[in-house]
Amino acid sequence: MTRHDEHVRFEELAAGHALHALEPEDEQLFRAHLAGCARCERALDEHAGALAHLAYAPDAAEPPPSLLEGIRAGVLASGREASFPSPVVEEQPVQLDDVRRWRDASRLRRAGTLTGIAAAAALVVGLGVWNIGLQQDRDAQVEFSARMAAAVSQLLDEETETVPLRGESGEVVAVALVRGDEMSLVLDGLPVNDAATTYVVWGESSLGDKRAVGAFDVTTDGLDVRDGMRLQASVTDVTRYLVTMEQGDSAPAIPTLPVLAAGTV
Amino acid sequence: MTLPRPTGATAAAPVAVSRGADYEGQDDRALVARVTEGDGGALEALYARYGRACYGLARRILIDEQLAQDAVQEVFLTVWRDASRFDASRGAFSTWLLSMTHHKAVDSVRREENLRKRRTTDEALEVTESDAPRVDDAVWSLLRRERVREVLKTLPGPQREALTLAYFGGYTQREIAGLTSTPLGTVKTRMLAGMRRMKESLDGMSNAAGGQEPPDPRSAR
Repeated sequence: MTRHDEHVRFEELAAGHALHALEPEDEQLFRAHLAGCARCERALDEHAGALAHLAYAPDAAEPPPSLLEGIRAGVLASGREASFPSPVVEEQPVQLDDVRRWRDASRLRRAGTLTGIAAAAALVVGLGVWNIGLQQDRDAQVEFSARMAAAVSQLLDEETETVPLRGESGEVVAVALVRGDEMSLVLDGLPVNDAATTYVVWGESSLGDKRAVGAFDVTTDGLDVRDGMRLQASVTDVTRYLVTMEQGDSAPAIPTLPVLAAGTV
Repeated sequence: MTLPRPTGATAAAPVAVSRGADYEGQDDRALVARVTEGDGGALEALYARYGRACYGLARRILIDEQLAQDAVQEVFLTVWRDASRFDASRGAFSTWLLSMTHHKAVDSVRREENLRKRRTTDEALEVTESDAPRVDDAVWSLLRRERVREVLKTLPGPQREALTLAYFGGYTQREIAGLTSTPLGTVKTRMLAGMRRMKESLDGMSNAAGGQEPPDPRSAR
């Protein structure tokens, strides 16, 4: 076989490589050759250029809005500092229906409500930065987005336990994210409370003992997050989390009925 | 009992808001440079230019919309994390992006064996069939699509078959040999010939969206 014939073989492999169609052994062979062959490197660049045209052959497909939302959420959850332009469009505040629509469309829903809510939280991370209507001022908006990013970061952590809390009608109104002794709540439908009351989340042991984990206010009908809560050392063996509404701004020794939302660990 | 009220002070990803950013007049390379500096808006601008093409390609390969969405999301997050991998001296940004999209989609289709089994040879070849253009298609996109389809039609049937089965079907050369009852060596030869012919026919066509990118440096070689 001449040198020319030998190289034709690699040219064929270059076409297969560009098409991502080589068998593993051919791929290995070609990569070893490519390292020292400017001709094949150039051929690859040319093939890639031609294939980029081929990418336009299918009918254009409008990506669903959730794709961009997912990218935004991924950017914000990446842990890398990100800047975004000032939102200039007149967007509507995050509406629960929008979130539910998105959640319904998400494949995460297939895995159940848990991940659906997690996805909803991720969505809000993305929307938070863009959504001028959600917050009165930008500082609050940025702070909100950062908190959502933290919540999503928790959601992505395999060590985080995710417990949906359901209201009387069976609908999820909050999700507890528990990692070690830290808890965050993603709120998704609890009514706004007034200044004279507070919500309290309780941990219930297998024996039925209940200990307050944290108190929080609900200030918006939309999605929101409350973090920075810590389970007390005495709260062990939690089998269920409960949410009640209490008078004042702190938790009583025992919960006041009715239980507004509950979820089993 | 008094409990500390949640403060919500923790943040996994610090978020700053830049003002007055203008991406429209910037070419792809400038946007990529901004992405490397952490400009999320620049990433979104790139998505606005190429997200549709990437999604269309991924959906064509994967059929399943959600899998296509996952693949494209992964591609753009790869750009976000590692835009510096883009080497402008080797080709247009869109070429790099679409190549990544193709690879991710093909990897995905190979993982989804059940999905692949549903696919037929005919499905992979359907791209040459022109549907009615969408009214909201950008003109350049529409023209490019028609031109590429025309070029595909001019390829000899066996070359077109080998290219489209590989590119849109995600089949390997050996699988194509089996599907078409053709010797593996012949499939390899057809692929190379088809690639060369396609390149010749498409030479001079810009790879960038709406003229946003300077000419491909390879055209000057």
